[in-house]
Amino acid sequence: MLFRRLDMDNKNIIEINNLSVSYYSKKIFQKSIKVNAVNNLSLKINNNTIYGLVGESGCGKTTTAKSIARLVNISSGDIHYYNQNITKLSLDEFRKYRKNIQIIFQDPYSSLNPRIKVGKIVEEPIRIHTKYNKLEIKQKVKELFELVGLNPNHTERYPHEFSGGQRQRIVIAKALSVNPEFIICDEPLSALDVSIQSQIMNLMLDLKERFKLTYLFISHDIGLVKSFCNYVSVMYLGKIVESGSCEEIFKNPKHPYTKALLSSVPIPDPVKERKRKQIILNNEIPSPINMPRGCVFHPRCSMVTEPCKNIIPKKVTIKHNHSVNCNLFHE
Amino acid sequence: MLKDTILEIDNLKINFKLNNSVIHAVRDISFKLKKNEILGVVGESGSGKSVTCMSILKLLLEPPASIESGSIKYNGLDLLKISNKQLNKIRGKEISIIFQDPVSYLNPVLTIGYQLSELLINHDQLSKYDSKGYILNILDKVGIPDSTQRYDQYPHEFSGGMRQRIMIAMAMLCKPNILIADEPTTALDVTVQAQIIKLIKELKETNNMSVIWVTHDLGVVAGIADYIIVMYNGMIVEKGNINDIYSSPKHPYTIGLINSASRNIINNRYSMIEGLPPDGSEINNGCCFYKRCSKRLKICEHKIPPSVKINKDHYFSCYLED
Repeated sequence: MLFRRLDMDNKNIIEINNLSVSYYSKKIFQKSIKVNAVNNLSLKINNNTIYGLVGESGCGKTTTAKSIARLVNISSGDIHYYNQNITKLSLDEFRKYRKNIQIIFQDPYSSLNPRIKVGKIVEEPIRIHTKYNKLEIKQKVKELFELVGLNPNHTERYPHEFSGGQRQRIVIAKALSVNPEFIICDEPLSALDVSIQSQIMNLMLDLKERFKLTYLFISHDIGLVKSFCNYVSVMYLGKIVESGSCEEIFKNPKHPYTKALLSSVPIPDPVKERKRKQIILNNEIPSPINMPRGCVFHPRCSMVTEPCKNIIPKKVTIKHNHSVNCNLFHE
Repeated sequence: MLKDTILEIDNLKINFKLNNSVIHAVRDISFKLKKNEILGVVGESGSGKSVTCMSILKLLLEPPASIESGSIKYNGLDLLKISNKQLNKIRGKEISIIFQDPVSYLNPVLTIGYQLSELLINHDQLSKYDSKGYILNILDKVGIPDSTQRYDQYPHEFSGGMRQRIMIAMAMLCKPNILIADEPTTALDVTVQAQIIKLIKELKETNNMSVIWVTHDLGVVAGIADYIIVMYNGMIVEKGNINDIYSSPKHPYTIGLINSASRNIINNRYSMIEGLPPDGSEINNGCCFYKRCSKRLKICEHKIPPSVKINKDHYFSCYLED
């Protein structure tokens, strides 16, 4: 398998420093409970790359994505878009950046308004962010439909008249309508069938080349990330446990969680699949309401040592483009 | 019927009658399940996998569903011909089923202990007291810790993986001969999926049961199934032993599906199947796949291709013979 090359001399389009996001679940007659969805997370996304974010459900991938687009309120930390700190901007000032940061959600069945014609859905961002007249907008929408592989005569239809794959194309057309530079893809393929997934992946690769896009690609499908991304970060309970170029992470995983996660991905080949050595983790992810002390992974880790129970691991650089947060590794 | 066959489905046709249209969910399928075998049923959404499974225990709501023709023989007994009363003795006792989404199949207002004991009280005429010990034992076996406390808890107090374990415990209570697992791990994370697959494999070995494993994930079946059926648009396009299907797939759909699943990249493009998935409402007299097939011939549109035999167990339906 070939990995996508990683060129690291570009500029960072997104830089996140020490981001924390907490949710509060309010209860009547009881103290409200704090849930730490994202915990002191830092990452840098290079211009013109596909940055993969993997992890199991509830590990804070979507919250991280939403905080970049300012769809959730962050508790602390800052997010830079190029050199601009976008967390400090007022929502009015942020609006001009929102044009550059677009988002594709997981479920095209719920992210499209069922009562609005798809042409209107796609033209809405153009109407808000640009000064085109009506005719020009209509023309632009038709071009966008063609670009994503839809019939330009279908703009007057409603979302329910399209299949899942077509709907995801509509969502992509909408995201592209205002010429963004950065697109957050929050599990864009997981609601689709395998044969349709490949179609959308090819479309996304074409669009990336053509418009010099940068993707933040969130997924729980590790096989998909392996072939699609340049750079990968593995998240566990609101923290990044390991990150590096795709090749490094998949050929040379260091963190015990990354190893377990990679080993549990089934391979569509009976000979290889039956020989695959699996690391089966015990238990399930602890609740983010009461996080374990020390390393968050230690209750499930097979290589747990005494310090793991108390000391929060620091980021250790193993190699250029590869770092891990684990107490077993030292500089 | 052969001696080692436990379930035999012949020429099954299932339609859904809607207000002004008919959906052909299953169009004339036949297959056999052998004793102590794991049969993988593979296909994308809308291919009729789940409908086939539900029809085995007659769980489809009729109408809108109607079983037009065919037979489902379990140890020689046609399940479509017997009364509901007789079928209830088989449901959950000799043939059990696990669904994809445990959240919607467990009753949220009853404790899991109550829901599990119901089965034993009805099938084995055990008292509540006797059944409890038995249930605690099986909860331990499927890997639910502190089973005595968990017995009196409600479904919402369990995580997704734990709920699926409860569904498995429920399916295993009466030691069934056949377990139908309808996408049992699709709603779960990969690390939990690995745990559940291991559990079902172990239970299959210790209880000598046959398993029908329905999935859209070609990676999962590659590891567990002995025999595979590939479904598309309500038809079986190819069936064969696991190694034959993966090493020499014959039908264009099977080839496309395996290539898509293994994420093959050629010239920076993922190999894919063109076109849209079928919605079942269109009537076609020809091959179910011809609209998306890259190698289609003229005849494919009008005539259903015959089943071609490659070897004893490997069949496919296509006009392209190599």
